[in-house]
Amino acid sequence: MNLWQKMKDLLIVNDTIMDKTFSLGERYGDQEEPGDQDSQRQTKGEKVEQAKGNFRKPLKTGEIQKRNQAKEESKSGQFDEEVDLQELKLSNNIKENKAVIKKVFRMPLNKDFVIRDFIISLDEEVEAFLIYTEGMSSRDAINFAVLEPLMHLSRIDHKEVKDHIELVYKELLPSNQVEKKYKLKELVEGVLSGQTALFVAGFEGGFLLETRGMPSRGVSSPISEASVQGPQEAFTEHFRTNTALIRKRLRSERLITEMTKVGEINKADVAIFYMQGIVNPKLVKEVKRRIAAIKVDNVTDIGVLGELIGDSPYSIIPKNISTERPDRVCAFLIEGHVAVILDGNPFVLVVPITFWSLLHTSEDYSLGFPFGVLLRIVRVAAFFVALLTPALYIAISNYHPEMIPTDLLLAAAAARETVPFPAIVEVLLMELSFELIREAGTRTPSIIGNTIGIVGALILGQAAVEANIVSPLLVIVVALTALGSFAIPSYALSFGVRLARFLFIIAASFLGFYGMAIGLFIFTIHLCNTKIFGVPIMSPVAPFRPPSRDIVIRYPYWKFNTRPGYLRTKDGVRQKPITRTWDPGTKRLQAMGPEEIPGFANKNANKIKQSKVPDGREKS
Amino acid sequence: MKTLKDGHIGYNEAIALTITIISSKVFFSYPGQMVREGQTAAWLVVLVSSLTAVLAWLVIARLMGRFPGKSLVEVSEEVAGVIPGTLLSLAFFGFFLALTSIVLREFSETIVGTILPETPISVVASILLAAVLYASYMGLEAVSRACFLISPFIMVALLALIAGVLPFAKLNYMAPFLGPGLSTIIERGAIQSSSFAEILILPLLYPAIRQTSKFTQIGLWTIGISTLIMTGVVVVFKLVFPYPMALDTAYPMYQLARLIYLGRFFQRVEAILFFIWIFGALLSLTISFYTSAVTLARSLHLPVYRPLLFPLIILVFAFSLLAPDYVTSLRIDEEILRSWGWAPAFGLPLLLLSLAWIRGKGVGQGEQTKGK
Repeated sequence: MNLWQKMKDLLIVNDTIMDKTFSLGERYGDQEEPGDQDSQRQTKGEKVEQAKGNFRKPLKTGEIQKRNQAKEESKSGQFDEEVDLQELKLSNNIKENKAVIKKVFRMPLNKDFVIRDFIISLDEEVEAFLIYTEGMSSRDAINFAVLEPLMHLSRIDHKEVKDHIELVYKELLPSNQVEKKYKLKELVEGVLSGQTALFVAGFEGGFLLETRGMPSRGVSSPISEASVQGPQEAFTEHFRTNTALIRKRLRSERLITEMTKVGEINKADVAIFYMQGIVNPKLVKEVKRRIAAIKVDNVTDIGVLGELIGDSPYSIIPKNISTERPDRVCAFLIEGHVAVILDGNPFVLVVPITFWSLLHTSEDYSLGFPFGVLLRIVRVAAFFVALLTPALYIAISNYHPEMIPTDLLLAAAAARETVPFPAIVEVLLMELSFELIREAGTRTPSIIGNTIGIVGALILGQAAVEANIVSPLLVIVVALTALGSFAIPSYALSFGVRLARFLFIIAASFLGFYGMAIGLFIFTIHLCNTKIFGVPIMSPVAPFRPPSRDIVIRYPYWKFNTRPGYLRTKDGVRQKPITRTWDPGTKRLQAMGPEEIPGFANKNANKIKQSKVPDGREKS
Repeated sequence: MKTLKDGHIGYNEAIALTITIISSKVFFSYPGQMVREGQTAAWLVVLVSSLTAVLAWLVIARLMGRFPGKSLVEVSEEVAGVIPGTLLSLAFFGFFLALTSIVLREFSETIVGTILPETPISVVASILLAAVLYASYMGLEAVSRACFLISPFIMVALLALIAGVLPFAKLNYMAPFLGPGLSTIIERGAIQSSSFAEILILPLLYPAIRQTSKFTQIGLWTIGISTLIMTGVVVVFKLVFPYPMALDTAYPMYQLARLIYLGRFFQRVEAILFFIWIFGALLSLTISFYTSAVTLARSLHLPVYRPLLFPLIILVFAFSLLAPDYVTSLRIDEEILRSWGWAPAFGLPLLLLSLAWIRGKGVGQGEQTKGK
């Protein structure tokens, strides 16, 4: 278009520019898009077009042709036709089946699906075709385990062929998993997950063959839950790898994997793991009930799933643990928890949890008894440091300066003397900058990640102090807070703490220690009131359920004799009261009955007594 | 008819709950009040009051044992008839409402007097009440668990405080050891059993307690541990301050904490004490406020108590500001609440028990075992 043309456009009436604007919504004079499947709307749209035709500019002939063509396409179901899987049925006729399959997968338009026609040469020639998803299925499996036997081995003499479908099923398909499916919906879901569907003439259904081979990442070491000792395997995005990682560690026939699907449009696989005979059946039922009740179109992430099935969604306390460590999941399972895997997610959800388990790591168990205790005490301290330090700084500097010793007070006052802001502004400024550094550090590619560190350390640390924007004491406070929040092992909990910290800062700036104490009280009440799948989050401390050997202090492993009482497991006894039978020190205990051993719950002791005492004695 | 249900509390939580509400008064004027009652033998008054409370508790436990599964409100209605019974229950309600108001006033005055001198008392009180309202709204389970979680910290801090001021103790300050004389001690001690009047929350919240078979035991443990705490604090208070000084100390615990001197660095630890102090006050306020609301709901046969909370909290706020000054509120506490508190707490249950005997209501001791 030359300049003259443009000038001409200014002089004549030409509203073609209107046609060039694209909008997803309906616009004035919007032509009915091809493929708008709703016939009612289509006619309505035509009417509108007719009505508007009076004042619209006449169309060029080419344009009309194009539109008609588009309408034709939409009628033949090429573009966006709604297909109801429930209504379509498979039949004996292979041609019809093929048409149905093509319709379901919108075939010439959709290029990811491959249909392969072939002939099975039995006594008579049987037509067949298979369909699979390119890239999701293993090429070798289809070539060598499906097509080759069907096309070549079928020529070998078979015993009398009565039913060629049975023959195909029993003799000609050497895949490890072959299923006969009669419902179109199941076949379609299978194909979408990478399986191959085989249709044979004369069969009112299809075979679903296991040929999945989709690209996935290999098992690597955990990123967010690293440990020094202990296993270095983490879950991946591949569903079956994850289930295998759990089964690999928990070799028990009691470990049950139940499969279900979640999401209305994108049906994602969900696996529910639990130990039968240990877990409380009510818990499994409730997990399944909640997952089945989810009515959303798409569940993309394990976090979303956790949000959808979790209790008290507005609380800042994590409602579940999502871990990437198979060993941790196994430890939870054997205690009587339930684990949920969502396809495509390298994290596994564990419910229910307690507040204390958010402060645990698998490292506590890898190290021995006294060191595990030390680690946990450090973490509890980290929790309080991350939660309260900036608030304490504000409360002390604003309301209770008499609390700090005189020398320190003088030093702090001298440091603050040149700072022009009140303490609250100073703290909020630094906390905000720190949040910025943290967020920027998470989002930047790791190659330039170092820059963030330099910016943070130099500019915000040193330069801000030298410019008298903040006092050096505050830099220490913020650094301490940051360290505390990084030492909290649960990512979700550290987020909760970050949020609560700001509330405490505000409370402290208004009322000093008084405000902080009231905030802490409300926080405690809130914690005590939170329940996850019927389990109070503060149990087994509040409500108190002895014996609890694994809260803040991790007892020696041979004292973990009972499962957590709050789970109300079917089998409350974890191991016999005496686990170190070789130890001469336990001789005295071994002589005792189980009910006399201190620290072994009465309830469980009774159970053992009942099972161990011979019948005759029990009767008397 | 639907009856009010609000969760369950276990054995340990019940004990923690009752200990908290009874012994958190050591943070307020209680030590000073005991000195005014028993002079140098204040701790003996505490012991006598505790013994009286044990006797009274046995009466309450016997009464509750006759009516399994019912709270004191329903018991009084059954024993005394609908209208007198409801009036009795309203007396319990009034006692706890008055208690909440008085403690609120004392506590807010203490806060204003010690750490927030420039904040208006209405601000201090209303923020406190907001927390109390939230906690009571969350219900008994949350409150009792919070109690169980927090009370060990309070105990540890209290022990640390006592240990910290021990270097200042002088045995001379305790002399004369019998103070005003044995007869006065016993008389004052019997009246001061009102300091254990809060134990009424156990019969009032009876349906919520899981282990009702250990009901008597819960009360005895509560009284025992509370006596230990209260006697300990009073003894230390008396050991550290001579009688005339102890007589007019406005904030006894605060004065004690101010004394602590552990080398040059830890001179002013009373700020740490604030935390446990505020926690103790908040918990005891919440429990007494919650009990008053539940008692009112029960006596009026309401199936829920939560709608009552907001109106009641306004009442508490208004009542707490009625006294013109701190000293008046202290006098109300000492001369009315703590001098006559035994009447609703222990007198009424005794009356009910004798009525039950006379009218033959409830399950007798012999019938109870027969029933089992």
